[in-house]
Amino acid sequence: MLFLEDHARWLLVVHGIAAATLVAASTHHLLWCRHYLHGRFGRARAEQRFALIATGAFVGTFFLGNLLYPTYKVRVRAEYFDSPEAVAAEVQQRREAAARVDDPAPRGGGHGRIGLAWVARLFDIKEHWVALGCASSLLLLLLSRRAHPKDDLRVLPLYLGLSVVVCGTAWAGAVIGLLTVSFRAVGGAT
Amino acid sequence: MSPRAYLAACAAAVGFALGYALPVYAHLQNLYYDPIARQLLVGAWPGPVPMGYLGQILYGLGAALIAVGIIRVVVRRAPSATVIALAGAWALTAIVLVGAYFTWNNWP
Repeated sequence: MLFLEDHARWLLVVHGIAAATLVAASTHHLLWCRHYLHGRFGRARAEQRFALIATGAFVGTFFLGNLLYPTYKVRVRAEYFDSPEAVAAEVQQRREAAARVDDPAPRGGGHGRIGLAWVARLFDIKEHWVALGCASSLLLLLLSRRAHPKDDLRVLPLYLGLSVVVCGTAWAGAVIGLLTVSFRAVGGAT
Repeated sequence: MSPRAYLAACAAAVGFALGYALPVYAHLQNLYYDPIARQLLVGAWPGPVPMGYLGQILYGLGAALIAVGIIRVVVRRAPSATVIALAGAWALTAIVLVGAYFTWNNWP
């Protein structure tokens, strides 16, 4: 049994909810920061609150993702994405199931071997960007409390840049995570 | 604003980003977790299944702490506008550079 494999399904659900919160909060944060480009700081307090929520959601999502990672690495990546035989066997199974219910067969996989290693590599890219995004969110929170652009405009480029990194990595993480789950998720039939 | 907090944030960003990439780029010894054997390993790349991700994060945090420590020792007076602009630019550049490095190396 892998680390927390028994709880992987529910961890994935909570991870998804945390990620949705993160995407919402980081997008709000970036949108509210755009007023600073015109020198308007009237909503600074609300923006600082979004920085806090986005950071909390990022750290939480990242932590939950790390708890799920051993299960993903073995059950999804090693046993499926990096195993063309397992993918081909599943395609065959789906074709047989489609034939049984008289449905059109699923497309693709007609040439014997199908590779899904590209999904695993895309997930690797996401992993690295979210680690950088999580660190960026902590720095953004520090700046929002100790060196906010409303007090000194010279901070604005870094502040906005970090907000873009946090929002961009949150969206990339969510989209690539959903794409990965559309191929294979951590929970099996049992 | 606190200029030292700003410079510390910039140093932490540069330190974390470079430290995070360092064990992969320089093939350094790293901390791995083997999910099948359920044990931690320290060493060179042990194969495709053990995860080096946690080790990379520790490298990043260590480098960030060192960078912040250096800034706290070195910076004694308020930084000029040029220093503030350069520090911010380096912080963002380091993050984007390291992200691009991993994107390039893992591109499907």
